[in-house]
This record gives sequence, C-alpha cells and structure tokens, in this order.
Amino acid sequence: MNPTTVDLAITLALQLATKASELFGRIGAAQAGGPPITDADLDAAATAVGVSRQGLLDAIKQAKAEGR
Amino acid sequence: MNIELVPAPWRQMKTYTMWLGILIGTLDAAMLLVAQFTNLNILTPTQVLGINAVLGFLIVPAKLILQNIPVTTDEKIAVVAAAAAQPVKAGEQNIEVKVDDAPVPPPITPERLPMKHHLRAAQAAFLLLFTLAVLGCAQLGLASPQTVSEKALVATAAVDQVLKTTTTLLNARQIGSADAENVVKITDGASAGIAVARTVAAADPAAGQSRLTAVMTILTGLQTYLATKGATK
Repeated sequence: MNPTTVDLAITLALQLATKASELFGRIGAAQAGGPPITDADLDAAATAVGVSRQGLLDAIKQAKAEGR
Repeated sequence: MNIELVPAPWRQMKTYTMWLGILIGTLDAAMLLVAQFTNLNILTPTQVLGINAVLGFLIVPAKLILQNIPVTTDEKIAVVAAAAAQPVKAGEQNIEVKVDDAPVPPPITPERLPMKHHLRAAQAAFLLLFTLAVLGCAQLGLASPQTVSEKALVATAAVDQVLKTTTTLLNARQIGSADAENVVKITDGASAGIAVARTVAAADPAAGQSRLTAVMTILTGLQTYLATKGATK
C-alpha cells in the first residue's frame, strides 16, 4: 500500500471536517441569536489565510529547491 | 495441462471497495440534490461528515488487504508461470491454482500497487464528494450563510482551506511547485474578489452577493481539482 496516499486522504478529510465544524458552528451561532459575523471575524479569517499562504510559499520554495 | 486461477475471497474486495466509493458518492449527491430542490433536510451536516468519515475509513483496511494480491495481467502471468514450473503429478490433467497458495509475487511497490486505479478512483470519489458535501453543508440545513458577511466568511475560509490542501499535496509530492504557484495566483484573485464584493455590497448587497457566489464557484472548482489531483496521481 502507498501510505502516503491513504494518510493524505485522511489528512485532507480531517482538515475539511475541522474547518467545516468551526465555520458552520460560528455561522449557526450567529443565526441563532448569538453575536453576528463582524469585521473582526473576517479579519481573523484573512489573517489565517495569510498564514496559510506563507506556509504554501515556503513549501513551494522547498519543493523548488528539491527540483519538484 | 490446464491451469485455472481461482479467485481468492479477498480478491472480491476490489469490487466491493470500488462500489463502496461509488455508493458514498451517490448518497452524497442524492442528499445534496434533494436538499437543494426540496428544502428537505435529510441529515445534519455533522451526520453527513460522520457517515462520510466512517465509510471512507472502510476503504483503508480493504486496501491494506489487497496489498499483496496479484491482480494485474503481468502478476497473474507470473503466478501461473510459477505454478506451471512446479512438477506435475502423473495423470493429473487439471491443476487448480489458488492465489493464496501460489508463490509470492514480486514485492509490490507504491508505483505497482494493485487496484490502484480502482481504489484511487474510489478515493477520488470519496474526497471529491466529501469536499462537495462539506461545501454543500449550507444546502443540508443548519448553518446556511445568509448575509454578505457570513458568505464572505465562508469564502475566506474556503481560500484558507484551498491553501492548506495545496500545501499538504505539495509536501506529499502529489503536485508540483508549478501547480502550487497557480493555486497561489488563483487564491490571491479570490481574496481580492472577496474584498471587492464586500466593498460593493455596502452599496448594493445583491451585487456583492453575486460576486461572492462567483468567487465560491472558482474556489469549489479549485478544491475539487485538488482533491482529484491528490487522489489520482
């Protein structure tokens, strides 16, 4: 078996499940009368995007160094 | 001398795992379509995620079991040839060769993984439809984003998820740096589109929501591409 493929599938599934749980939980709370989505929420999400983007850029740099 | 290969029970698993993947995908698609067109919430998003996870993990042990089973033509030929090379008892006309008793075929490397096409197709279906199910949770009930802010949050989270997925695939050597750079460009465009949509929505909410929908369409397509890429390469 190729463990990479299976591990990858599990990793991606868990990433998606975690993100979906957080995201729809927050929106559901807002719609249930909780605090609405504010600019602070969007800024926090944008900050997370920035972190992820930098992580990807670092990975690209590493991949290029390895000739991939 | 006739040599007949008798399928071992585990060999049948290849069909089961393939159909399992198709079954998962069909159920997901059916639920999404029913929810989309009838407003009937069959399952909560949590239930959908749970079912997908359980069924998806069933593929893993099945694949483990299949690891050393000869399936390709070359491997079958190797098994038959090895069996044919064995001494034949006098008067014996038909030899039944059971795969479980046959000589061990050459080690199977990841590149020669039996059933990789079938199983990876099943994995692709699982990942693809899992992604669609997650992104389609809004269609299934509880937390459908309504306002521009909520939709912008969903879109931003989707950008984040695409970037993380791409990083995972790149580190796992499933995609190359060129693909990853393209993803960065697309997600940069999507982020800019989200910002523009928020600005536009201040004056025209409908126009802002329309732009967010367009951004989500791009991101969904990108995520689907990545899921397929990761599962089939």
